[in-house]
Amino acid sequence: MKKALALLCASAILGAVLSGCNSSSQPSSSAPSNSTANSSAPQSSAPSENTDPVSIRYMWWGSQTRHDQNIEMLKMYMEQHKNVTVEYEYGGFDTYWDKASAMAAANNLPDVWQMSVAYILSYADKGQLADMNPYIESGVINCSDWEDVFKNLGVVDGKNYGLTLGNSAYCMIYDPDVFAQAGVAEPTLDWTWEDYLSTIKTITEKTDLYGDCQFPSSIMEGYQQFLRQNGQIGVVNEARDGLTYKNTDLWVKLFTMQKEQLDAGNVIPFDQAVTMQAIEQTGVATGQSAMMGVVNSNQAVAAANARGKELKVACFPHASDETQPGTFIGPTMFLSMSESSKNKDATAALINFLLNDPEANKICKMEKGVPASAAVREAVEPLLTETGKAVSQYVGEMGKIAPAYDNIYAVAYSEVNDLYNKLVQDMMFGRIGIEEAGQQFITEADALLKAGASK
Amino acid sequence: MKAAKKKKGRDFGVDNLSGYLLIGPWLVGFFLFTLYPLFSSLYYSFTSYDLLTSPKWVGVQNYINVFADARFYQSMKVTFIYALVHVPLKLLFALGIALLFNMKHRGIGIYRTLYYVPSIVGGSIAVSVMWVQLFASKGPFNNLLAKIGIDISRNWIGDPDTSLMMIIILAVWQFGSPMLIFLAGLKQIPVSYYEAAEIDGANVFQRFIKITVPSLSPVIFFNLLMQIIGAFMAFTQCYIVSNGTGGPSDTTLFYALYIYLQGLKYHKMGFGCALAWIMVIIIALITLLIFKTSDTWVFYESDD
Repeated sequence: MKKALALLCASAILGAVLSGCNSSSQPSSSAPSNSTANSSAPQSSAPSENTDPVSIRYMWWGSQTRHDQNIEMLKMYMEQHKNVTVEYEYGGFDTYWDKASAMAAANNLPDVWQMSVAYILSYADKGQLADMNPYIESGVINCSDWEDVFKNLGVVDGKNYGLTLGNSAYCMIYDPDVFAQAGVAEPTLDWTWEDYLSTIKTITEKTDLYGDCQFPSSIMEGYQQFLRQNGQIGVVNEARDGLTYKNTDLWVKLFTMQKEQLDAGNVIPFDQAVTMQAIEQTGVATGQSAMMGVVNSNQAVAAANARGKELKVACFPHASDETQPGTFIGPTMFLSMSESSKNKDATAALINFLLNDPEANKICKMEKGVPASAAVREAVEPLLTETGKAVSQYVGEMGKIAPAYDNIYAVAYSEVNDLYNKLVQDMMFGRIGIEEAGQQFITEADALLKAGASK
Repeated sequence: MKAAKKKKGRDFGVDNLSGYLLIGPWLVGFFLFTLYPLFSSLYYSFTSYDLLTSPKWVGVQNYINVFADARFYQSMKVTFIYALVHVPLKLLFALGIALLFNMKHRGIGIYRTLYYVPSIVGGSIAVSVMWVQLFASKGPFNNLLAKIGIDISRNWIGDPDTSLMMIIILAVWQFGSPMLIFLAGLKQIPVSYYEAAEIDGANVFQRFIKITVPSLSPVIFFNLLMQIIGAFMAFTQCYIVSNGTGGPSDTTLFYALYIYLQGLKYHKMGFGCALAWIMVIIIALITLLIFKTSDTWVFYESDD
């Protein structure tokens, strides 16, 4: 009898635990995804078109500001479309991609999700993304007031896997007051490397601040622009299976310049600069330097907020004998639709709203970059801060001079980027010669790109 | 006959069944979340797997690639330096503090609690973030040095010569759990041993070497093993302190971090799994080595 009782107890506990798992799995799996269903979705009052209840999943990465703005935009959408429920989930950039790859492996990607130039090729190549061209042609996603170049930023082999959420160009952020204090002219759109070097030298001499925070070549996009103004198409070749430039001359020229500026003390010492990972930690945001080397223009507003004053943006210095400007316009990020989505029509309608609705975009105020839609830009521009307006104008100016450029990253890009960063650190800390590092980059990056493309 | 059969049935049937049912939830978790991933990672280590498409069998190619990879040796070097420096330091520190806490003192309970706090919070992200601030070029640590006349603007985390040292210090600072185990071990040593030694004229140092260390050796053995295994799996601190890069100049590229980079950041899960299995073998060998040598220096009371 006792044994039977034990058995009964055991199965009761097991049952309780299992059902506990079961019921708790519901909220835990959707814990990050707050479903803001309009519970009272009355079908009677729904608009005349399609009234079947639809559920769409949307995922993005970003800061708290972006989370709040996106949630507000979705609320607006769900009020206008009572039959649609948008479930959303969000997180930081690194964990976002861990999650996305796990979701892809489980064939469980959201219907619409924020996509990066660094990963779009990986996901497109593996058939995870849907071609959005049919929706653009049918007008569900209305790109009629987009410049042609913006429509095709996410095109791979003729298929449109990503629509730009906003555009940006690499820039240098600077504090105009420090320039005035040092008595040097603010950068113009045609300033050269000579101008840049003399500017940071003068500022360092005449003020308590460093001229620049990180020298432009501290990130690979700096090297990229240096190559472009010296006649190359970029770091990675057009087929994305190797390097374009397999010579160390330009590498040596650029990094010799960086090393000289570090040794002269015109930029923040490298052991300090290397720990400034977020834009809020950089010299221009903390008041340690007058400028911040090359950063994406959509980060300027965050830097200005951290600094507590309006900042301006300048372009990458030109080479005096350049054949084309180094600058390029690119999407800060895309919106992509998953091939596995079961509600592609409803998802396309939501994408159209997020990209092209002027009222909705007034909520996010170009936080994701300068929008492709002219109507949206016109509606939003008056609401921007001075720094925001400067960025919008800058991207407009760069759009006129920057040649068309295919900015989608090769599959092995993140590994090549890590290799670049490591070599820059090795060189600047004097652990390796500049020429030697250049050779190493050519051999190893080329091999990584080749291996990435062959899969 | 019938009774015996029935008894057997009860012993191996109902009894075992209720036992299995009771541990059932744990078993489900174990099979699903430990055993299955374990064996699938072994399988993946022989495949080319990018997480987005199904794995392709490539034989031992991943292992060949690992041994040709310079960053593999760098991460090995970093992890071994970390283990070899941090484990002895941490154990010495923990033993020293445990000896202090073993003394009869007023308010000793409060001190014990206070000294354990870093171990509770130390593995957390907040402390790693604090560490970055503490050793920044204008951080509290440099300010303190300036107060005593050493003017230095070095960023201890950003400088490749000191970055690993900072993570080692962070880890040593979390000496709480081995300390508690040492303390429990110290309490087990009979006071009569010390009294007898004292009567025979042994001084403090002799008593420590001849009584404390041998009596404590099983505890030292246990702590050593746990800390070494822990050291090879260290991840959180270097991930946060280096912002997930293992930088500057790969000087904090811990092995576990490198597995993460290869598997999840570069989408080379097969390569990452091969790395993980190499680590399993290394930890197994080291554990075996420590076990083998333990005969010579670990004394159990029953042996005497």
